[in-house]
Amino acid sequence: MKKSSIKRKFLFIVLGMSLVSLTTFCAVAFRGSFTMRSKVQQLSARLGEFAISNSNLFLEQEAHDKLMTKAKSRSKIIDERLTAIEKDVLYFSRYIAKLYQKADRMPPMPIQFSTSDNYGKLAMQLRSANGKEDYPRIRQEAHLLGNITTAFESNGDDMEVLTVSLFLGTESGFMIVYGPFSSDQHQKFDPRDRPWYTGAKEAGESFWTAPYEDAASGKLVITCAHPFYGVDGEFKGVVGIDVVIDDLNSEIVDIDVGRHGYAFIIDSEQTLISSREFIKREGENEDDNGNGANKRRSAYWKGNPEYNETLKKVAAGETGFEKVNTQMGEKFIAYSQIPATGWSVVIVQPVSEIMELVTENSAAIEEMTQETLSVINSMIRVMLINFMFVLILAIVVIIYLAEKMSDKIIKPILTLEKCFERIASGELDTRVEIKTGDEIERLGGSVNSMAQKLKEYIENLQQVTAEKERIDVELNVATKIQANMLPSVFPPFPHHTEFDIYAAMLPAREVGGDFYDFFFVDKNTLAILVADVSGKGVPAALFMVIAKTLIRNTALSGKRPEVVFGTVNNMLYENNDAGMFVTAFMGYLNIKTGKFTYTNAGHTPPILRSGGCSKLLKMRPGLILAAFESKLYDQDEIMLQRGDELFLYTDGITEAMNKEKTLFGNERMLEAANNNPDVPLKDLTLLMKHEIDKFAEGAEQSDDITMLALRYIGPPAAGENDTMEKLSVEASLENLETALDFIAKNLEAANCQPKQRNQITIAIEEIFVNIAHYAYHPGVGEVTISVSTEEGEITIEFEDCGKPYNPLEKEDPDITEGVEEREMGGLGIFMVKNLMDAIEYRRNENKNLLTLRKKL
Amino acid sequence: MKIVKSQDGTKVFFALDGRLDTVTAPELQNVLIPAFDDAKSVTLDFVGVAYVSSAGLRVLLLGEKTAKSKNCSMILINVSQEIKDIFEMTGFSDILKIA
Repeated sequence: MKKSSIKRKFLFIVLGMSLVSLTTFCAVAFRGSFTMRSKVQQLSARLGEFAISNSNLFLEQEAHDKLMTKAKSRSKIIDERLTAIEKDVLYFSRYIAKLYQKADRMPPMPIQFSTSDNYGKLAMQLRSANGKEDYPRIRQEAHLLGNITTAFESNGDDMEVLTVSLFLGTESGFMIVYGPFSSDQHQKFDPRDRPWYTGAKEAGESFWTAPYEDAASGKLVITCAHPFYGVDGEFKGVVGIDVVIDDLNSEIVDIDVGRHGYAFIIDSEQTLISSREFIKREGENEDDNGNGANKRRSAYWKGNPEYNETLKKVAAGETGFEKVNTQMGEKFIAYSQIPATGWSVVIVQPVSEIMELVTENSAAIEEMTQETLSVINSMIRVMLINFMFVLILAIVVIIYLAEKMSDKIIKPILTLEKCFERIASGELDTRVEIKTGDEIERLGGSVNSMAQKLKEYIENLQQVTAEKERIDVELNVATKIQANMLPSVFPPFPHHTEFDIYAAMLPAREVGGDFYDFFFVDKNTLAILVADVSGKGVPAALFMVIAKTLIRNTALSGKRPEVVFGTVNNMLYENNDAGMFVTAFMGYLNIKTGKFTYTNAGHTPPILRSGGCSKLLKMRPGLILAAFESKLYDQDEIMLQRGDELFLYTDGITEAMNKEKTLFGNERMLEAANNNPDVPLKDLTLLMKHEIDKFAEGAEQSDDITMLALRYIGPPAAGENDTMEKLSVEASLENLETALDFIAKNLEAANCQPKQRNQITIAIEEIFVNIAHYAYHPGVGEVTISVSTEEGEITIEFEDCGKPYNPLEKEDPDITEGVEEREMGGLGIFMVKNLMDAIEYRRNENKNLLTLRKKL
Repeated sequence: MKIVKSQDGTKVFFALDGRLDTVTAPELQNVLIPAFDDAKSVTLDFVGVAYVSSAGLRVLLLGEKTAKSKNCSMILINVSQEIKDIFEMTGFSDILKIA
């Protein structure tokens, strides 16, 4: 379907505008979305940083509070426990002292020596420096102190986890133990060199030992010991309770410190009291400076000055919180003193462990940011899809609406277009009805009035055209008549070899006022004439006809050129109410002598081309013809040499103009004549016209152009036979007509009289038929006929290669015989002899040559 | 040559138009000679004839001879001066009856 182009343009414009605004809107929306996304990204990053730094502070504070609370609470618990144990030991020492004071009233209370049978049971057991051997020596005192059993057992029933055993050692060298580790091997045991014994004896009050390996259980323990005294206050021995360090650690100190944290107790000399790491601590090889009770180790950490500095503060009994750098990274250290012993609880936790949370936090924030961004991205995607959807929908809707709207707008235009088509195809009664109320309706009105006007105009034009056509036809006829009046067959006198002539008239309009003429005034005198009638068109043409007829008729009456002009002038003048006039040049050429007599009636002088040089043939010009009454015209004469040429023309040549209104002029004309020597006369006129056209550069020809060119050749020299014509045909009756036509043509050219023409034709026929019948009988052969005209005599020669035959030898018939006696043959040759002036026969080189002559 | 023959009882009339030459003479002979079979007088109208060659003269002589032998008459009318000159020159003007 061919779409209306306006419709398409309309569609494109609407679609384009809508798409541009939609796209702009969407571009802004997308830009906003992308800005939002990058802002969210920045904000999240800042939030993350802020959260981390805030969390750092918070966590540090948190760690401080938590660790300090732990340190303080643990030191307090331990203090309470140890104080309780100290009180128990003090209680036992006072109890024992009372036993000594009431020795006489106390019942003997024997204690069994330590035995493996009781292993694992909480049982009282006796040990002595020399074992059972000592029993007699110690029996009394052992029985007395056996009364402690009730106290020990009551205490042991609610024995703390920490506590392993209760015991007492005497100066006399035995020992009573209440505990689960009974063994035969332990019967022999001297308590007096144990550290708890010597320490308490020396201290005279409550004494805490450093950690050592318990002899019975093999566990690391610390012991709280107190001396007891006799009646007189003399030293009798030491009572003590063992505390298992492992238990102290696992139950109280070293719990809930994180995966990488740890806690321990040190004394005022930085000696480790309890630690999960007691034997093996991070970053330090096992200290191998002894075993068992001698395993005392410093908390000093080589290569970590900050850490060790803190330890000094701990040892000094301070309570506090520090963040220190160590070889193993940053550590939080919280420490608190245990008042009962002067020891301190120390909790160490890597900063990184706490800050892990922060890292996790920031990772979580980062994750959330990514989530947000992906939500935004998906929103943008959704928006893009929506936009595409809306765009497609919009295009469809716009195209639909634009189609409908453009139909509305374009329909009247299409109606107009159809109307125009119909008007263009000639239906001028077509009218258009448009009611859109806009410019198109007005256009429709204009179209209607245009069609109306067009119709009127065309009707008018048809009338005018018909009229013009009629005039054109008439003018055409007039042009033909005029053309026929001018001799236009060249060469006009083919038998005249003395001159050559060519003429042409190129009218500017359909009929012109120029004319030329040439004719023989007498046998040897050729008149040539070129004239120009004033004005143009039909009046000039009519006047030309009169002038031409008068001049020719007057000239043919034998008058001289200047007399002809005088006579014609007065005749034209008499009836010249229209006031027209003619310029003319006429000359008579004697074709035998070359004498050229001429006269000029106000005409442009002709060109004489003689010996390669062109010049104007000037003379005193006479009056123009038909204007004034006068008979006075001069005449002049020159002798033309062989080859001389005369070029007669009208002012259509010299006054030809180009677009700048410059005249062609004499100079250019003479130059053109000089530049083209020795060309045929027809070509000379064509070249002249070509030069004029070249000069005019397309400007319209304003005046008639008439040219007449004459070349004088002169009479043929003696012996010269320029006019010989020949015909060679097969000698048969079929070619008789051809031969007769050939002769007729030549006779016409020779200006032969009709009677002579008939006589000569009869003679030719007789000879031709004769040759056809007899020369080659019974075969066929060729005959050649030559015709030449010379000095008023025509010569015809027959040439054939047939049998030798001289027709002249044939006897003439007797023309006086009566009809019965008359012979049927022989008449032909007889007639030829009578019709022609002379007849000759020659036999030459096997040819029959028959020559006929006749004066014209 | 155009030959129009008309007959009125024993009178036969030939209107001739054109050249009477070698080519056309047999045409005339073919109609002229049989005409003497049933005619007493034959008239040849030469108004349209401008040219007579020896072949034409031969036919006219043959016609005259036939007329004589059949006791008929043959008359030529409207003969132009030129042709009369020819007849004169060849002695035919004494033989033929020219009106």
